[in-house]
Amino acid sequence: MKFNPFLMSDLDMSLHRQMGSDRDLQSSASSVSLPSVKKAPKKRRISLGSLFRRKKDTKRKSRDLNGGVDGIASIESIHSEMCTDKNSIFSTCTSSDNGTTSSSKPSGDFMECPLCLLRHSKDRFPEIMTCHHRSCVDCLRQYLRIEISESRVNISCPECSERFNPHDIRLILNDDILMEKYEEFMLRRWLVADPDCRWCPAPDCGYAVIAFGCASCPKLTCGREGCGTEFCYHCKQIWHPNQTCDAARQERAQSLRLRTIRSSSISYSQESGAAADDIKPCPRCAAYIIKMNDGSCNHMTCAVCGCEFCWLCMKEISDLHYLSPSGCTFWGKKPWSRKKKILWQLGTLVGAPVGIALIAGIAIPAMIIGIPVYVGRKIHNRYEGKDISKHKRNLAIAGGVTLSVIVSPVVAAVTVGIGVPIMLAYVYGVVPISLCRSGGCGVSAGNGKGVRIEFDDENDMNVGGTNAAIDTTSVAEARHNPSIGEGSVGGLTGSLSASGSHMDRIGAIRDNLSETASTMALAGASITGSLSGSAMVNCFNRLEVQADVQKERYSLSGESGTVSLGTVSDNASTKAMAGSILNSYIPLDREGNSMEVQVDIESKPAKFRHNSGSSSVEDGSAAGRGNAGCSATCLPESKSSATKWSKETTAGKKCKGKLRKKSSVKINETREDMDAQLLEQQSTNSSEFDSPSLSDSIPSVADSHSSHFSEFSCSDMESMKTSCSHGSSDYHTRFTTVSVLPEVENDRLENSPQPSGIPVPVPTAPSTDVPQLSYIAEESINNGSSTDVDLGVGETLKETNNNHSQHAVELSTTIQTEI
Amino acid sequence: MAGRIAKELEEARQWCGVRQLRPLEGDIRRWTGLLLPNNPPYNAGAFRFELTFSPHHPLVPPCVTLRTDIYHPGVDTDGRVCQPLTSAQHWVHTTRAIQVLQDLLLLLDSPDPQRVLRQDLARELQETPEVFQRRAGKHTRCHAEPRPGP
Repeated sequence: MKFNPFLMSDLDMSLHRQMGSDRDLQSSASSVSLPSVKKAPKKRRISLGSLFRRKKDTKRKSRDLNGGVDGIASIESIHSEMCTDKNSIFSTCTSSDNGTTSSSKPSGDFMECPLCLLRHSKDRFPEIMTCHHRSCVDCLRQYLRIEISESRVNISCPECSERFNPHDIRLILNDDILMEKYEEFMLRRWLVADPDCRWCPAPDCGYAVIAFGCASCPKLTCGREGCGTEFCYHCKQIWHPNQTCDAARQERAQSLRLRTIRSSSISYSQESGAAADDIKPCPRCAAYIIKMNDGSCNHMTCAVCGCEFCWLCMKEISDLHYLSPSGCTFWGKKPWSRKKKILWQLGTLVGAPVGIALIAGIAIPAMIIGIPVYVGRKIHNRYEGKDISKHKRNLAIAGGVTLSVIVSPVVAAVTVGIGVPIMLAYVYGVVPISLCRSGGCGVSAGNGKGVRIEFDDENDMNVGGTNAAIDTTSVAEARHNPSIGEGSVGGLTGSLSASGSHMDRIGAIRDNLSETASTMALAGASITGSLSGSAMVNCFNRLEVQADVQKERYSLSGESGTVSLGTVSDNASTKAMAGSILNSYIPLDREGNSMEVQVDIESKPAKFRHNSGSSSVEDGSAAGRGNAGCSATCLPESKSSATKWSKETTAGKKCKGKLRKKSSVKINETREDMDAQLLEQQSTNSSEFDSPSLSDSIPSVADSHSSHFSEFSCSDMESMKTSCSHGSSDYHTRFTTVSVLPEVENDRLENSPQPSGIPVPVPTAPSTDVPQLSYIAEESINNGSSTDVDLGVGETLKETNNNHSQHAVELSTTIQTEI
Repeated sequence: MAGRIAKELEEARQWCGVRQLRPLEGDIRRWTGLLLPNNPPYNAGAFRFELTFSPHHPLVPPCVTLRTDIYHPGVDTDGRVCQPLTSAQHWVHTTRAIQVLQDLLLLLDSPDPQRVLRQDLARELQETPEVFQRRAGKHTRCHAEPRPGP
């Protein structure tokens, strides 16, 4: 998510406003757009500070504005004057002749709009902060309207890929309802990417809880007053106090069967013409995606969270997933049956040594004989044309041949000596693991087992081969089912994503994983080795023990969390990912009861993240976000990393679990800052618990996260046998070192009154023209937002319905399938 | 955006690669016309196409299909073509209808191995081009529309 440009230009604009308040607003509008971008970095810092200082003054103004987002309050207020002026300009424009040729306009220049190909006067082309393209205001408005109605929040300029600044969007749209929709979608998308976000399962409740670190104490309580539903962090269903998530699910399914079938989601989907298995939830954000299972490309990209996954096996992948015998093909309709998969893998396993032996057996004599022969021939040819005595020539040839005879075996031996172990290690390290994974357990257990396996892969690879050559070779071989693939090879980022993806993998991974793991190990240097080694070994053992799949998953994720932390360098995304992994971990309570701690989202996570726990953070590589960077497998959410920033709703209340809405701009900005800290924090935690043992370190790790929240409203304190075992004193101290940035939001939250706040969903006339896209919305944001929204998901749709209250955060997840 | 479509219609009519370009059933958003390929074996005939614009043109890409049967690896039996230009990912608002038609004509003239919808024909073209040419020519003579005069 590239919010930076917005942030920069936005803050810069605010700075300009502050500095030039007496400037003519109109001229400032045009003048700020260009210079601000250039001097972005420096001004940003200043403007942040000035923003904070001014926030008190601007709060009132912001309230007077549209009931907008709290987060953009300060910037909003600064822009208010500009906004109103711009608005007035636009209103005059639109009210005046809507003309096509507009030749009667006296305002001078005319420009041809590239969208409607008509000429308009220049003042009908709104100023866009982010790029120089200009389109007429009507075209832009229609464009924005369509994009927002289709719940696309990464709206970019129609002619380039520069994202629109939300303020520009507001100004151009001139439509409060749509703007609120836009902000709603933004917020929702952000939340979806947050691995800790849990939506309240009560009907008609649109609230969500950002349950940071609640894996250990999984009982969450909805923060909306009047709701107060308790639900489980892991399975996101109504709280089941004395059952595992699976048991509760079964019980629920049974009771569901007793009810009428008509209300099931399957019948809904069938009514709409789609088969039940055409609708699948995204592996990361659980948004429903529909795809015609007609054999078209299986490489999907979720429109909500952007994760790429394979439609057949529903696991996150990279491109290499289809190149290996994983059972999924680009264009197939069905993944391979287990049998076929196993057959393929066994074949690889068995055939590999044969192949390797064959290759070696041929290569060695070939090299030993071939090189001297080749050298001899070359020398012979060289001397062919020359006028040298035969004797000398023969001498030269003999000398050359002798030399090569000596050298060639050495070369051959080295080649074989390096290549064969690599291949063997690869084949016997990776394939058996994936075999074991797929062979040993059912598909349903794929998640946990898969995660485990991956972890094991990583384990094995790290422990076994730390040869850089291995990585490159194994990668080059492309005989793996890389779930992460390319990215990881690239380096740290890759490694991070590898580790992350371990967690996320709902089973696919395999070889690539190991490769990436090894890459990671190699790249991440020694730190990885030691930390991960110990962690992984433990984890490996631990994994074996796990009987309950879910638990395995959790533990695994916890493990991987620690491991990945160690292995990662300062890659923000990976760190965050690791953090999320840690968060998702629950203390391994053999009975399966997970303890949950509800976290007060607003301040605590921020503070927590901001805690610059120095610690074992590695080098600061600001690597780009790995694709895979995701939270634990058990949490289908998360784009991981930076998006874990707590959002603040416009409601000023400080209830726990209440979501706060925040401007995307602000979110980005804080996210940038938070990332590093978050990661540092995470790594601190992880480093503390170096020797993970299920009962000890992981709970404590999870603990440290959870206990960082002041409103530690865990009503089942007594039930947290293992998790809270560690003294919370140190946690509290760490908690208090939380720093400023989050406080800013907190203050604003506390001080600002209950604004009209979160957009009340108004059923606007939906743009029902949804060309070439099939939608399934999990919950309809606006009931009228789109008729398509109601397709397909029926019961699940109702599961989290709109909360039309002021503070509702709507849950709509509209997905488009993309190939 | 009907104004724009009308403009694009005028522009496309000027192009020599297409004939009888007109709206279908009075709907400005549905064009029909004849494409005139230049290369054998298709240059013996003309091929009817249909170009459908969405109501949100140009924000949403148009869709082009061939209405005439054609023996071509890039056109399936329903007349659909693989056209990245008008795919949701690659579509830009500045692309004009004439460019879409030109791209289609280019595809007919030179089958693109990346844009293959009929594997069997693609293989035949690659392995036994003369067989392919013969068959395509025969098919064109049988099914294509007569080529209008200049």
